[in-house]
Amino acid sequence: MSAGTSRPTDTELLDYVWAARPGFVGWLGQCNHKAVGRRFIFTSFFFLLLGGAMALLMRTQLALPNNDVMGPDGFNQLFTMHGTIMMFLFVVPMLEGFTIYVGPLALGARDMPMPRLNAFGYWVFLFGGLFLLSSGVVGAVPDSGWFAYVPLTRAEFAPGLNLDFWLLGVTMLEIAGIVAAIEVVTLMARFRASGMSVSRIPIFVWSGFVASVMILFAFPPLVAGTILLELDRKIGTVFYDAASGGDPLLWQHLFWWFGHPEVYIQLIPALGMAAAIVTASAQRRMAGRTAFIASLVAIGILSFGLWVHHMYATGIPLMATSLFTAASFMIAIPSGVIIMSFIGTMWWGRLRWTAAMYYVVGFVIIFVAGGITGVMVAMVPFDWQAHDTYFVVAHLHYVLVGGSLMPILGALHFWMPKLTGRIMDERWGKIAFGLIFVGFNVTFFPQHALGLWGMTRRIWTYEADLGWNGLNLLSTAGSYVMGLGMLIFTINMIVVHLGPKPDTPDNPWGAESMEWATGSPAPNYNFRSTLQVASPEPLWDGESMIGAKGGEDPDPPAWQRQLDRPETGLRQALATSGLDAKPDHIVTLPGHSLWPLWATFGLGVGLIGVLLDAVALGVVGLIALIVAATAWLWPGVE
Amino acid sequence: MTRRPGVGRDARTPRLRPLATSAALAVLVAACGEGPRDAVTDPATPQAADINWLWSLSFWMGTAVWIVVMILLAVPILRSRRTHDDEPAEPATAIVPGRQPPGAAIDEPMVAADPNRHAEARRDAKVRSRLLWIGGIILPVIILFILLIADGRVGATTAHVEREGELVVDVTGHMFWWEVSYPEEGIVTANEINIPVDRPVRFRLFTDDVIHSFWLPPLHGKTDMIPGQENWQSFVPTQTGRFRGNCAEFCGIAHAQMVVWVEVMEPGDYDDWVLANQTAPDAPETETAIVGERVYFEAGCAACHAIDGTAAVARVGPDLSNLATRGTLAAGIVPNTRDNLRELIVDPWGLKPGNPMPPTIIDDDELDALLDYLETLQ
Repeated sequence: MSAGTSRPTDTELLDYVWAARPGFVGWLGQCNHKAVGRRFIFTSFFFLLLGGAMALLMRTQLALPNNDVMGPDGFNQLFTMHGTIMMFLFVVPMLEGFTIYVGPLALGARDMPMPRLNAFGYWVFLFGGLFLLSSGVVGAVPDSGWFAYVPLTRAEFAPGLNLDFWLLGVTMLEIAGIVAAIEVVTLMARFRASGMSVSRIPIFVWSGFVASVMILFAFPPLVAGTILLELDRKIGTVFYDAASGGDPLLWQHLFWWFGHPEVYIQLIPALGMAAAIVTASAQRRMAGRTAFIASLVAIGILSFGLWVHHMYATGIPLMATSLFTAASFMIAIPSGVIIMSFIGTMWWGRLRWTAAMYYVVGFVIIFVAGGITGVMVAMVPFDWQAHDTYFVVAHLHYVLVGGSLMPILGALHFWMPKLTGRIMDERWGKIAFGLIFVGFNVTFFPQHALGLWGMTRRIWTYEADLGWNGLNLLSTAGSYVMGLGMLIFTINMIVVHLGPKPDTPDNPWGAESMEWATGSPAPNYNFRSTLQVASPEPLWDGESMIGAKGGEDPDPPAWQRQLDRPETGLRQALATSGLDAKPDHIVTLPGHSLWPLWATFGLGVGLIGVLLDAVALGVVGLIALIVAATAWLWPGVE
Repeated sequence: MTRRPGVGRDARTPRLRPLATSAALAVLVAACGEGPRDAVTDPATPQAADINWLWSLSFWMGTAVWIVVMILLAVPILRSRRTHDDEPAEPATAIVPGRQPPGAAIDEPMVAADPNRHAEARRDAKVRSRLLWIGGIILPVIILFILLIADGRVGATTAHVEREGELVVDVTGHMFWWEVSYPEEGIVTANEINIPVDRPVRFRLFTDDVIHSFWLPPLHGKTDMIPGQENWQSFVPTQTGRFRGNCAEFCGIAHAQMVVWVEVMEPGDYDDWVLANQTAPDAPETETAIVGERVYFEAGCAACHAIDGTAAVARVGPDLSNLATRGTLAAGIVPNTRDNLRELIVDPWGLKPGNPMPPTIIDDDELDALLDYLETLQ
């Protein structure tokens, strides 16, 4: 610290305390939410491109009947990895990345409540992703679908390492997801700016909170399910073996108890993103803001009562499945409220047509169609026909591309100034949107018809005389157009980051929430002073927020002076009370640390030991994990 | 055109049914100049017709909902295009300092960035709440209730039940073919199922290995075959014809090529078929066929494939007792021709990658003799 002759200003002092250490090790050991959030976002964007390229390969194979671009081995590996990558390596980490980056800024916090755990979450995610991809290096790519139904995945029918890669990789990704969820829940409960009562929390943070609570309930059953399956495979237990008294349907129940909420975990934060974009573009508070948030919560709760609608064809009695039809219908109501809320906001706002707003309109058009087909497949007799056909493929892509990908691409446009200080090119952004939107519909709309015409899912080839040729060719053509759109989006994103940093305004969209009250990109310390907030739209309610740029409060209390001018050199943040966000106590947060990375290495080595049946390696990994975790938690150790 | 449940259809008109049921599909059909071979929208049983009715109902209601939402969405989009042409650009930031004391706006119905539009915002609040209530809650509830009732009615008529005078057929899924047996008639065959028209049929579904799913789109929805479980599928075929179905649950490498055919026949034809299959195939008569029978045992075919009336009783692969009468080979994927059969024997992976059948290494004379023998099996 340069404390000596010249006293550092508050800003210099804050920047010094919150900055990353210099050099590569400093970069590696960052635990700040902005570094971790950016890492999540850009890593998962890479996985989006990878999963998309796999989809293009599959569509190429299916363009013509009896095509021989690849064989069944390759195709089965591709659709397994496409689903796994998009679910576990793209959408969920992307949404978590945005919540981790934008969340603390929108709440007026200086960091996440547990920065090292946050960094650990990222490293586990990265390692899990690399672990899954490394299956390609050893030629044992998972090939039993992202749903991994038993008994096809028991050692009897899948003797190679393929499924072990999948089970262990997915377990790591689940751990990463749970870790991030714990962070976000704690963040929203205790790390809000003074005065930001529950009713004033931004919708996007609400959506991240709801999804995180859902993760805490939905992911553990899958972790349990995958561990049971790994035990079946490795040490010969019979949890899923019908011949020995186990039950293959147990896996389906565990999987869909996770899998159905997972769909909404991918949807809800994206709804929050779209809400943030619409609010800024329409220059209006979200129409029916309270109803919107209540609907998010309702979807979150209802989504746990639907899992059996993936299992209508398994012979479960009609009376039981009918219950799940009614439950599935119920979720259409909060979804309807949310869509009307979007339309109402647009209706009574003055819309400005940014590229991000294009994506929101694309989201409404596509997602409504996906929701309608969702109601159809919730009906038991129709689902008997549509289940496991291209009708469902079309439905799920309408829901997930409409409900997740569109808002995410919009959010990248919208928050890019805050993430990196660059504004993506609007014209190219709109061109990319046009190609993605048209390409998507040309790809997936015909698949509804293909499904009704008998085309089942997960088939690598089809005969020429089934009447499927024309629509499959059309679908493939559409997928190339969508791929071109994604390519333009990516080039746009790369090009704006070349050259010197422009002087980006703090709030280029005139948005209302607090992440826009600080620099673009956000400085290391987030905000100059401790914030006080008295509105859900603090930037639009002039005096309802103080402290963003510092100095507004002429006589701050001592604790606030301590936070605004960290003479001690410690990273300190304010914890507030749960409901009305009254200042409660000061938390000292850890800074730079490599221990989360070493703990991840320990975990990784241990799982490789499990993979290879190398007990010694597994024990070494476990010990390393324990040592690293101890060091990480030891007071004063960096 | 929609139809009420229970109304069957007289004749199979594959190219007309999708046109009649759904306009959107019709556009696609016209665009591509082809119709589907076996479609959900082309039902051949009252059960499938009921499900198709449910599909039509939900399709038209869903289309109406989608169009209404799109109109609601189009209004602000068109309006913003109109009003923004002559307006100056927005300022770069919307912060309006010093307008009101902190907290005053929290309970306001709507907050606008532009203070000049606050009065307008309050007027809008009333209409907005109508939009949320009517569009978001009341109309969806009405539509969903109609669909729920329709769903319940169709569920009752399409449930899998025992019916009087039914034919029972056991189908067992294997990787990657279908074992078919008629317990009453004492017939075992594979991949092709013959049933009489207008007589209720109940399939009892089992699996020998992983989960498969039995599905014939024009006849009924799909039912999974699950280890340790007996599932049923039942319907009343009301039209003769040949129907194709594919395994619908991913079951491994050759999942795409696990096809089943159902032939719905006139009752007389069916009785003839039963009689023909209850007797073992005649012993081979020509010289080459007799040699072929010997090759069948020497080359190892008998280790997996049974033939009635011979020492071949293994049931690892499909029963071949009526091979010559079947229309297709390799679980329904290619026509039953001598060339395809030859390829299947010497290079099973060429036709069907992942086929568990090993290649048979025999010289050409033996192969021809074996084919001659197999062509006598009926």
